[in-house]
Amino acid sequence: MQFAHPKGPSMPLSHRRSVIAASLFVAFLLNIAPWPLEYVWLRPDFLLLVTLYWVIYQPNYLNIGSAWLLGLLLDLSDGGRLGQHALAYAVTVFVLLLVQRRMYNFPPWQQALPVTALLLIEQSVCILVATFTGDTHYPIEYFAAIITGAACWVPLWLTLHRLRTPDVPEAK
Amino acid sequence: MPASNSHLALFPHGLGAGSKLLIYLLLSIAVITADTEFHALNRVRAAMNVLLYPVQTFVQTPWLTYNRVTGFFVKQAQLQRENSALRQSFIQYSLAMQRYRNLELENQRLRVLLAMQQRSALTTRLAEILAVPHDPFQRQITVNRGSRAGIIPGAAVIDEAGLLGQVTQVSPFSSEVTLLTSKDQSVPVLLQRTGLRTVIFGTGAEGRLEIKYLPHSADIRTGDLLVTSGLDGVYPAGLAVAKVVQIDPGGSNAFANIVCKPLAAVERNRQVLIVAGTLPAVSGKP
Repeated sequence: MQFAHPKGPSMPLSHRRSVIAASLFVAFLLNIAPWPLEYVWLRPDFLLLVTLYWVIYQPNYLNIGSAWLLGLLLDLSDGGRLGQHALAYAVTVFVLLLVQRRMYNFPPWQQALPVTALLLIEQSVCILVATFTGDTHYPIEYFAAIITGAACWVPLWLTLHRLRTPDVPEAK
Repeated sequence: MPASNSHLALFPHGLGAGSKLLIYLLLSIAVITADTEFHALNRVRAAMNVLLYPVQTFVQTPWLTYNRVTGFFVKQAQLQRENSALRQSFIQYSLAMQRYRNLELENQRLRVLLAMQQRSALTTRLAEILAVPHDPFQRQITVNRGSRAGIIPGAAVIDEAGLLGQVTQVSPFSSEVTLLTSKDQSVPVLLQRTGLRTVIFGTGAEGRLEIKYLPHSADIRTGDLLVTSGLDGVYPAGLAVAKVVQIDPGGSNAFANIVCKPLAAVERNRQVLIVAGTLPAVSGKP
């Protein structure tokens, strides 16, 4: 068995739980940070991006349920319709889980395109929920947040990938 | 030890992703319905707002500190320019203010003579925008004053240009303001030029309000100013609301389609005024 898991540079790397929790918290802070109100439609959803990253690389720790809770937290923080982002996050993570093993092996710049599609799915679900609850007007610039979100993906990937530590067997 | 890479597990067990999604789908529908239809989760929201308030103020501190620091290093020339401009406008305003005081006294005396109800003065409270929803189509904001500061649901919210919206939900340290442009909002207004009373409706679109039920014969022109009439007892009378920008005869419709632009804008600055004072008496004859 030893030869199958050589020590050294190819030692498996992964993230500590504390890193995952801290990064999600920081993303949440970025989400509720004050943003210039004229450009509010450019605001990327950092929490969703970080969630997507962890679902790709640590799917054991983040699943549909935790994504749902994070979405609910976002709804509570900005006074929006409760449950809207929760549903959108859950659907997005579900779609991501369907392609997670392929995404795992892609380099970040190739991941950016499917991530754009996932962000579009999230916003579409939000619009669907809004339609069902009675909203009728959706400005086209609403979708600009997808572009800025996708532009954030590679820097975010590089930052989070740098936080990896050698894989220690978990005490059970 | 290799088992720690269990995302590569050959046979995953437990609920499949599809059934999990179904569960959370149903859960979300339950939450959304409870919130939007029955407002059953307002207590949860209020409790959560109290918990989140320190985090939100903490996040705002870098921005506020930046503002303070840049405010400190302002150029002398710029200060002088601003100062002289302010002084000029102050002189103009104080002239207007003297006349206004006189007029107000006169108005009060006349009202006493006519045995009409008195208008009470408005007290306002400055608040700062704490959060805006992530979806711009949700026309509401959260501000950093709540029931601890004496804010009550239904209070009018204004900025320096005019009416912005109405407080719809209050928690101890923050409150939610539904904007005028929200689809469900309607405000009784008065055409300042002619005194014509009507109701203005939000459309859900930014910077667009509509007057729906006004006959074609009504005397209304583009550029007319609309102020609150105070007839609903919610909004104090006399607050500027909107300007008429477009009148569409509407062809076969019974009513003209009138598009207005609200004077207040959330985008302009982060401060708003909440009208916390007693509701003024309804003015005028019916």
